[in-house]
Amino acid sequence: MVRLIDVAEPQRSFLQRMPMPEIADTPPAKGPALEERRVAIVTTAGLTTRADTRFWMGSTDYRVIPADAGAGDLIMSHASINYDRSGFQQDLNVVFPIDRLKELAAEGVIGSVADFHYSFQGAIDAELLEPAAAQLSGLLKKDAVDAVLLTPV
Amino acid sequence: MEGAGLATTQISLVREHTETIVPSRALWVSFPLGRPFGVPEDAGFQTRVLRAALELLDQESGPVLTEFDEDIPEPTAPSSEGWACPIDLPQPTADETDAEANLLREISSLQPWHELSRNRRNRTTVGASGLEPESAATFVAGFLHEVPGSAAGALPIEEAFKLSVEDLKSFYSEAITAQPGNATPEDIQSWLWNETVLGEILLVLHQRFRNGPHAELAALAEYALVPRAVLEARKLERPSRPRWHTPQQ
Repeated sequence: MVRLIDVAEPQRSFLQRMPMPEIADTPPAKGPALEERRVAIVTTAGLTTRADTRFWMGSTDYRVIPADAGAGDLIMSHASINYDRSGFQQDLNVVFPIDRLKELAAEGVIGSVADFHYSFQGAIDAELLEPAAAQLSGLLKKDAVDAVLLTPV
Repeated sequence: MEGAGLATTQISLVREHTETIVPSRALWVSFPLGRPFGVPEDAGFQTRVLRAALELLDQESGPVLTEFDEDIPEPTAPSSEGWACPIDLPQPTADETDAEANLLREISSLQPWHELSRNRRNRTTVGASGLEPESAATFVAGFLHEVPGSAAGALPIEEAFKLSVEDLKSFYSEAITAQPGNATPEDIQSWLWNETVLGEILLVLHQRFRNGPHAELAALAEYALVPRAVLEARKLERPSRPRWHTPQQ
């Protein structure tokens, strides 16, 4: 989006007041070259499969998005109504670029695509997500993931 | 994750937030909230964003915050008058008892375009509530008369209401973006909240829920029913009473 100074009120003030988490000063993890990496997506777009429990206001848990989930099987139950959903409704990849990621793997730009990806619901104090997020590191490593694409909505 | 040895890279939609958080690697993009990879149905554009974010993984020192060097292309204007829904939808009724019937007529008017959307895109995002659009419409319009004691399935009433509303909004959005005319997100939002029976019903319910006795529905109305930008605009432009309460002239 444009910088906050260009955002119309009252959305600008809301975004300015949002509490931001403090992250420990951790050195960036090293790893293989991009063409050897196995990549997973972690989104805060509130995506679920149709069979999953929907997100609700205050949800702090995550949903698993299998890499082979069809685009028609993924829906959005994010509580916030203050962002555009029409892009997602037209094309999953504008929010969750799983097809683009698979194409990059096929072209050899990345090594491979993880079997499992993860979805949270944003628009919440990020520190409340930490317990669930902390579980992901182990889960991702079991999937041999060594690179994570974090994406908001 | 970085501490556990997992290299991360991310899309930043609000640069100021990212500058405060200082993640290891981030790509700031100038796209609207809701579109972190830019342009729907433009695989080339999405791939360029994705590659730019992934290539940050090769940076072994950080933090890194870079900018994506493309903006979303300006939409092609459909005409000098700008975008408008070409379908004549029902006008909001003067009698609240007609609201459900008008809502169902509106959905019926949009149905062919929703079918086109589903066929062309091979998907729909409608379905979070588990109700078909007509059933969701009847359920939502029923709140104009009374808050139901229960909803189909095991969901609390406020969750069933919210999911039904989002399904209806998805149905409308998918239908309208299947029409010719390159509707922008702003066009869609303005149309839905200013020109549709659905928008009228939701604005009335927003006011009722906020002032009503049902705490969960009041919270829903406060945070998750009508976008802030719409409320702000309606404060200036909206009549003091909903249009369907206004006696016909």
